[in-house]
Amino acid sequence: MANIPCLDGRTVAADLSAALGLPVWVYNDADCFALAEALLGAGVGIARFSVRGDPGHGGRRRSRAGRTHRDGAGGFAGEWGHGPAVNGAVAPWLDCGCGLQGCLDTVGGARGIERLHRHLAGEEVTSLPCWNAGAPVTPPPGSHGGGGLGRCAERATAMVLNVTGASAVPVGGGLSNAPDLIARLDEAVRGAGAAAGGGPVLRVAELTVEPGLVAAHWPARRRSGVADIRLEVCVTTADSLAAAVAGRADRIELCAALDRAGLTPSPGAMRAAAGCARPVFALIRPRPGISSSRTTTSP
Amino acid sequence: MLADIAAARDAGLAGVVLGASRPDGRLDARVLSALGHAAEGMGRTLHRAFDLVPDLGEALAWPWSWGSSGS
Repeated sequence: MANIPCLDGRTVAADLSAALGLPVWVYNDADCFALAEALLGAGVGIARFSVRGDPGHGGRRRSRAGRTHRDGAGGFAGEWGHGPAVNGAVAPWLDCGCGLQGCLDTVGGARGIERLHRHLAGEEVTSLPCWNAGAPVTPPPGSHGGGGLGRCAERATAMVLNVTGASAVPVGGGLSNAPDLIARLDEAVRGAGAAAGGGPVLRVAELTVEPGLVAAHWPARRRSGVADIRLEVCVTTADSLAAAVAGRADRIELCAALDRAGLTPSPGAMRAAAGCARPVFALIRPRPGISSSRTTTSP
Repeated sequence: MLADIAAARDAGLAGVVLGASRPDGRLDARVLSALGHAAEGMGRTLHRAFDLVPDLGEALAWPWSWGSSGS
């Protein structure tokens, strides 16, 4: 496992299932991000759609049925963050965590942008200044592919769009904090020959709070085979309340202190949650409870 | 807890999630009745206190006069 070496050799779903006594399915985070954006974010109303995550991983195209394509020969499909795609005339092919070289992942994420900046400008900076206008990785306004990142990635990305027919590519992760860079990358990619419509294709992702968690329960509900599962989500903050509603929770349990299995929320939190579009139930539990003889955890 | 239920009602929330356990883990019927009465007209649900009772059959047989509004 390229990004999580500690999971090598483990059967995560089976181990968790044994520990919890419940069925467990494991989904790719980029798949879940893609589903969330497709069904609730930038993909609403769009038939075909691809996602670029940070660091550059996670191209997953969805179908009209709201499912990701995972039926490739290796058990996945739509992966365009990994593969020999970087324009070698601009930057050297760097080793990628996936075991290949020259992946878009090696230049597209925060660490990749820093490496690219080091190569092009000969200076060490954190990724944020690289994203500002004028830095070597950034294409100057009005010139297609004038900057390093654009020139590294524009052709491969344009080809991906031509093959998939994707008409929206939400950019998530850290890169979503750099709308100017995304706009210039979009300009570069379309200038490189992407057969897209008139408007922007690369765009800032719309779901900013845990989009993967928002969508992860959809495929699980489908695979569970139970038609009517109602989803209740425990929340403690305005952000988590908004994420639960966006993720189609049927009911909200408003709590404080989930690290103590939940306590009574403040009257202010109750008032703030009152306008929610879903029924909100307040947990009435003033203190952590007793330990039952049937379990070692507190109720 | 009664004041907390009143706060939830005043805030306009749809319901409350209640529980009260005796030291042996059984549900405290007297306290639960009082809490349920205070939340009359709101959705009422039991929290994990119910999951952790020593005898689920006894807990299920309890006369839940405040009805059920879901899990």
